[in-house]
Amino acid sequence: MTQKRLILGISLVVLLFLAIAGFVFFREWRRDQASVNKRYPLQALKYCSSSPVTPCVVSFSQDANGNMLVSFLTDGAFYPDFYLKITAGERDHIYVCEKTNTLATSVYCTGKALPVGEVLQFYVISVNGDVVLAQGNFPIIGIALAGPDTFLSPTPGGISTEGITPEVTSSPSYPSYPGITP
Amino acid sequence: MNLFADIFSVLTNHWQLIVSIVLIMLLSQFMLGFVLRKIFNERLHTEEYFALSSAGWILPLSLTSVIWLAWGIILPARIGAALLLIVLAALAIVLFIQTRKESVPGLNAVPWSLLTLLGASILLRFAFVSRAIVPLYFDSAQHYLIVNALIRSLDSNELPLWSTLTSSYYHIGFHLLAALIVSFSGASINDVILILGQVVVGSIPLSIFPVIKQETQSSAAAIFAVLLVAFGWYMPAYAVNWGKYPALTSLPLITFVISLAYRTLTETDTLSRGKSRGSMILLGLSTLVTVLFHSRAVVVFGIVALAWILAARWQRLSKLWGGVIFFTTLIALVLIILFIGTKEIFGLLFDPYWEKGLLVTTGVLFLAIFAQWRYPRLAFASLLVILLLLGALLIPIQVPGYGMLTWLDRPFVEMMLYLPLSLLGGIGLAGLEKSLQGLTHTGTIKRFWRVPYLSLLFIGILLANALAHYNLYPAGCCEIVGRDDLVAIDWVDKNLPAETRILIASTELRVLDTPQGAAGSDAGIWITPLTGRKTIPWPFQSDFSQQATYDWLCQMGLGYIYIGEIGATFDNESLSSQPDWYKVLLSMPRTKIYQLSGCPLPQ
Repeated sequence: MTQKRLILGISLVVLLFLAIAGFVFFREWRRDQASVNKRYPLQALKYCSSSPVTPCVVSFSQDANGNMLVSFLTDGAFYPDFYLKITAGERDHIYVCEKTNTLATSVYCTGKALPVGEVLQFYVISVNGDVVLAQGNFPIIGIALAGPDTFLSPTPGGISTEGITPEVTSSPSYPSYPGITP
Repeated sequence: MNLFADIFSVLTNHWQLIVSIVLIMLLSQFMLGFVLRKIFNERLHTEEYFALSSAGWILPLSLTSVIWLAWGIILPARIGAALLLIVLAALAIVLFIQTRKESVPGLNAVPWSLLTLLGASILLRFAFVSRAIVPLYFDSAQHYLIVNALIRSLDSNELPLWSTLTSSYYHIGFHLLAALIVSFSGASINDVILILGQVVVGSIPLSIFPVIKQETQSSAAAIFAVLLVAFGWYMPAYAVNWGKYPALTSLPLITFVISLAYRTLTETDTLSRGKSRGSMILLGLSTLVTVLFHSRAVVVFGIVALAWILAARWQRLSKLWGGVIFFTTLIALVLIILFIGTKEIFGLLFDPYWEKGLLVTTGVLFLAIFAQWRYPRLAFASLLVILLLLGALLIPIQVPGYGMLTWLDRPFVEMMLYLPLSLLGGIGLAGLEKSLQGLTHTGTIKRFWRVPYLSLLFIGILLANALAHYNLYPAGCCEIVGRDDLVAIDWVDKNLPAETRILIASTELRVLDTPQGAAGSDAGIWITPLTGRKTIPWPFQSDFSQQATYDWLCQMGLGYIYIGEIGATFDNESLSSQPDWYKVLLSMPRTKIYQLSGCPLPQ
């Protein structure tokens, strides 16, 4: 019985080792896929869908200084640091990109605001080696411009609290710890 | 196929963290199994040891995290965590070598089935992580804040002061455990909370196995109960959508304590004095650790103990009185269910078990008849537990510092009801098996309907139902952070002054008859944990176009207003309609950050 346990123990350790080795191998393979030193078919860049193929564009935004922010979804920690080049007509615009502190898959690039609706060429280029990682041609849509008259208004009208000093409402308007919605 | 692709993507993206957590889980499990084996020797089957140690694996690890906290005064958190885990691993190796010298029962199909179930259960739960941007709902932001505070304190070789963690939070067990894992793995707090949470959820089902196996000696019935816990109803696993990680972590521990108490009580006469004492010490320690994870576990232990004692007394009654008490309990149960149904605040309580789990609950109620017939004490105790859990929702208690509460709250009872129901289902199936066995012996029914087929039939129906209805992914209700929110919060961190105060949307927290204050209702609740900026919660329905609102905001000295991408957010139109009062700083398709402008200077 002792021998059986020993064999079982060794088998489990070997299995665990193989599993770890498998994941390391897979990770390296993934890293190689995104590696800047190897030549692979160029990844197409598009807007993110419900089952996104990364990297993809999440949204376009604008800050008070008139800068445009382009949000990306990437593979996360494995994905190399990159910058964004947008070609409009014959002019190139460079956007500096940074990962958010919270989630390695969220990256945003900041630079000059460009016109909405016009088809532009987007290049995701690695910081290390200037290799084009992804490329796509599409127009900017859904940008929220930072002028009060040009906002998109995604939320429905609010409940009026006219003439009342603001305070917490007395009845729940949104169930706490809700269940599955049908 | 998407499910497997999603699970695989989580495995590849978080493999170091997953391997770390699973390894310490196995170490912890092995050590607990060793202690249990020392106490109970050959009184328990291999599968019972495995299931018990799977239920209580958090126990040794929690004790380690408490030692790590104490070491925090002398050692940096990361070094302390690494050293402790090396000691833990060395101890496990020594214990393993020692167990090799002892004879242990052989392994049959049941322990392997349980191991497979545990592995599959944990793996499947990783699908949730693939679609979660950060841990869900507002509770998770609080967990992040506490874990972060713990790590920061220990990094500066200080014991964290209670007040630095939070003034109103007391379930510190989960945060200590998460902080320990963050320290030694180097992973981000959010990743640790997400992955650890899913490993815990995956280990909950196995915890029910020992009680049913002990009571019925039927492994098939116990496995059926395990599957009931895993996929029967959307609870308890759904509670990850609420960010109820401390309460979830207490669930396998609660079942571990109940199983251990049950074993200790039933083996009192056969255990030596020393072993009996050892069992009691382990029981006491497990109870303490469980309470450290969720203080309301005390109430659950009280309810279970009371139900068990009452069921024992009930069994000693005459048939007539026993019948009267049994039917009175049933009527009381029906009445309390009807009464709770009339209370709007408890409206969601039965949703997982009735509205969304009718088929499974009906099956369990059918099996409960056989449970009551063949295993009356445990079945009656389970009924009493349901009755008392529901009763605890209605009985008020004055808690110093917290005001008037009730013994248990709606979300926790909703999470807990799976336990008595699964017990009834498991022992009910064993009862049905037993009844049919009697009939096959007398030749009343055909051989085809013999026991193994019956268990397979029930397990098959349960799994088919789960395949059709069970959702392993995050629920839309509780996702309050979108991808743009992360960019916006990062932008806040890099662009707004550190001492600023930001207005964020909130909703009323209400799980008891009386409101419990405000709870963040969009990603604004994550601003303080992620950037350190102070936030002021305010009802999301507020109308910012009103003069009174603007005056109040100015009086409060608020600098900015945050509108999140999803959840219950402020109304953007009421802000954008007053450009002189609210200047837009960051405009994303749905997420916005406004600056309050034109406020009169304070006199």
